[in-house]
Amino acid sequence: MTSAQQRGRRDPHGVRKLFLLLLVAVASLLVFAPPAHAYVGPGAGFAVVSSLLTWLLATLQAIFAFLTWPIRQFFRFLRHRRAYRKAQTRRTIILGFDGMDPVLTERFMKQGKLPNLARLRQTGTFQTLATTLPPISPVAWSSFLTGVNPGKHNIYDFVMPDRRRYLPELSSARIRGPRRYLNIGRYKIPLGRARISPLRKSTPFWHYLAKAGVSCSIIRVPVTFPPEKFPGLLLSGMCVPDIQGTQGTFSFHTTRNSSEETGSNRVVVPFAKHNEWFYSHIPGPPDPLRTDSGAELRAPFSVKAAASGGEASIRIDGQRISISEGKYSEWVELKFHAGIGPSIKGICRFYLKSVEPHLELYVTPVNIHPMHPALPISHPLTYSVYLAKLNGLYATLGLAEDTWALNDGFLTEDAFLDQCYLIHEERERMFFDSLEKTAQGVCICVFDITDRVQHMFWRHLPKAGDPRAETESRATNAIEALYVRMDQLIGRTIDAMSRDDLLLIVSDHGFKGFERGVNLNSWLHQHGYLSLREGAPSGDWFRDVDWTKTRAYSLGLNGIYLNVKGRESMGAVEPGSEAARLRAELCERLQGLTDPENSRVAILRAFDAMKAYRGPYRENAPDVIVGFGEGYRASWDSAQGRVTSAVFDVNSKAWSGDHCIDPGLVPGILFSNWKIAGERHAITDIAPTLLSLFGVQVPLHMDGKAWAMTPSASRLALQES
Amino acid sequence: MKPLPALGVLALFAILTAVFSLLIVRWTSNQKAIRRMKDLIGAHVLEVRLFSDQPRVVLRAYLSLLVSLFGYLAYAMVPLLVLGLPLLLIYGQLEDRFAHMPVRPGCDFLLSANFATEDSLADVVLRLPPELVQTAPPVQIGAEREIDWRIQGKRSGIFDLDLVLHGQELSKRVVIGPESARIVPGRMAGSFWQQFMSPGEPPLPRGGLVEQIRIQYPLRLFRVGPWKVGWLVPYAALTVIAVVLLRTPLRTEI
Repeated sequence: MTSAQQRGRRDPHGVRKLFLLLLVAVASLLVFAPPAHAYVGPGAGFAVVSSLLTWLLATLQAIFAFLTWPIRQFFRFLRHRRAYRKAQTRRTIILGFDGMDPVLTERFMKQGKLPNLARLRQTGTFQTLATTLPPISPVAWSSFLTGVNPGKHNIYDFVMPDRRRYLPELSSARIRGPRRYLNIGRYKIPLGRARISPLRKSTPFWHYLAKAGVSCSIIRVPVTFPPEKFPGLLLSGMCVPDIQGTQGTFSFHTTRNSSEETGSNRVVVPFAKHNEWFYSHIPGPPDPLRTDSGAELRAPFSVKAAASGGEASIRIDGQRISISEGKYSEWVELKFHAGIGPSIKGICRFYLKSVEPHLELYVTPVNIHPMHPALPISHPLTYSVYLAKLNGLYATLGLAEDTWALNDGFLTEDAFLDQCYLIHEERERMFFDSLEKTAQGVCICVFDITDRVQHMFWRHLPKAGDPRAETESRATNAIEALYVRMDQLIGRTIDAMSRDDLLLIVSDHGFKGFERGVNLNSWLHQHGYLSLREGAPSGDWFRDVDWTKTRAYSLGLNGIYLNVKGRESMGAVEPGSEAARLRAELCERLQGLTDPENSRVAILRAFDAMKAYRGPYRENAPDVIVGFGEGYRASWDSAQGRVTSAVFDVNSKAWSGDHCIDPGLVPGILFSNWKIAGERHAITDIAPTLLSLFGVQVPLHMDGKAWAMTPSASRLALQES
Repeated sequence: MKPLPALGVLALFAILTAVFSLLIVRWTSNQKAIRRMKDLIGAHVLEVRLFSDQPRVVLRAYLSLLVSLFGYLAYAMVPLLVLGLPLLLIYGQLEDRFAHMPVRPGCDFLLSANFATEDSLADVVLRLPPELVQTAPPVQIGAEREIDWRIQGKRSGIFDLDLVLHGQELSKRVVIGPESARIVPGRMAGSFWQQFMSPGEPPLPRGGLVEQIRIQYPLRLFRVGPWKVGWLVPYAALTVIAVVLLRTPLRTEI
């Protein structure tokens, strides 16, 4: 918690002083004021009148809630009389840690650094949890929440190809403008709202539970944007866009550059100096009132470095913010004005990277304002508002921890870690509030920090027994410190539990190093499956690919797509037997691919999607899914649809840990305070298990199998240990 | 140039009062804490709604709401205290200017004077300027030590009439006609507080024979829909509207 928030929240000394002042004031008024002068002025009058009104409204609301509670409970009982009757537990808490690795967990437990997880292992369960194919977060969490394989939930990667244009688009949701506009010259007035459609199919298990009368609070579970209506509470997680509609575009402002530069996840904007002030702007969403494409809304701001050095003050939208070098600001509210229409509101943090010799300022991606969301980010809509009012503003972006800024050198490692923990603290506050309010039912919260920090700090991770582990470098200890912090969170959760509660700790996948990249597009090109236009160099997103002669291409992190006639706009492969033959051929040739540099196996297995998946959306899957060997992953160029001369390259980026490899190498973790019978459990089992625990019938379409769980003595042991 | 109608002038005062009050609130209060308290109040109200099926949560939310409301009032108290005195001053000034209308020329009005002793009533002499005439003999109310005169103004203007008692002359100002001058109905030998609230004319000497001189001016009423109301109602309403509209541009949390 920041000091400002602490001041705002609890200042007993100040409050006592104010109460004393209040007493003196009341006494003075009683002694001196004549009764005729009851009007006390607008500001103070507002305080009194609005307080009374709020109090009155809340009292009425509370009385209404209390009076109608028995009636509502009666109807609820009639509707959901079996909700908890067959339940094996009154409350289930699921803590999701994205990417928490079983091997590292085991290692740190052995070293005695994770006492709470060790307690759970001793008294309950610790197993690995089979992940999905491919082991990518949106895929695995979609299987977690629906209990089905990707062929039924339709998520195979972060992105999927637009088959008409061979360009990537977000796989989880589609955001489009309103259907109709009123065009007036250069301006257009939207007649209606933006349309957001979820692309993830199948129903989350909490919909079944809530319909049966079980209370559900779901916080930041990935692939829950847009939030779907159900009789519970939900705050969307991974896949929520920023205010620009991207998955996170930060801006960097500097006196070093003289011209604006735009990358896939960043905009570098130069400062313009006038007197002592440096002027720049934060890029916002496209102007919704302009017909000319490319017109964007902007939030101008100015910065002045303090004479003492190491500090600067920022003026933005009438606010003045003081910021120290190497520190983040509080969340700052921004308004993007579109003409005279309503403004679009967002929030961001500033990070003053340096003052001298160059003024350099990093601005986080502008998050959707949780109190005034431009797009829905929670269900009901007021839930995000409630959380912001209760705990302060918070990051709403799906991938809020800015890995790109560190990867591209715009943030230092320390700055990135600071950002991660600021966000994590917000999530912890939300989770514990939700836990407190969910007396019975299901409370789920997914924490992302485990994934982001491991991605960016894996290269610093000392091997087991390495003396570097004893050093005090923050980077070297980043992953260990992260696991210790998560263990403390688990400890606090156990403390807040009652004896009958069930606790499940899960991760969607594990982690391995990412040392060398494999350019699948280069491999396809070298083996005649992908053709470039004659003499043309390769560009991003297949810019110079000759589609009429291309039979396969790779997009995303694990997928190879066939260029099928009738499906792709310039298809070259006949669907049916020719496509099946090609899939089999690719699988055979890719499986066991070795790296000539070191003779290590770069691709362990390649999977034919038609055999790996079952379900109505199998046709949308990549035709071949590549399971990379340990230390390998699709190269950065490959993921961006670029063909290079070499198939293998060295990954020299900060992003040095990954999990988009063979799923057998990166299972997740499963801890519980209950004993879970059997082994080889999978992430798809969680949904049917939860339904079964609350006595709700498991839908036949679910692929997972409910676990046999026994609370018995383990609960006592956990509480007493 | 045609003078602004009374409601226009009142609106102007309301806007100035709103700006003044907002600036004082902004400078004297802990704006961050007030915002925090308001957020907490909003959160607890939403909590009652979001968790309405859980009486324990509703009850706790309600109690927390009360605590937040008291916290909010406590933080609002400092600006309230700072604003108290200037707002009372403004009230006094506006009361003098907007509470009453001048007497119309040709219309009668009552002049009342209260004295320290009943014995003095017989010795009182009223001296009028030529523009004012007495239209009926004075009425003495012994029990209340009061004399009432019925007077008429012949033409518009601001005039002084004098009461003479045992050689002591005490004047009272009268406004006749459409002049938009300050209208002070009473001149009294009061306390500092009374003088503070009605600063239009100097007070009568303390311990003197005359305690109070009053003129019965007609009340100024403003039409608000089907009702006729005193100046305080439109002033308060206009001030509130101005505060609501100006608080965002003036960046004041109230």
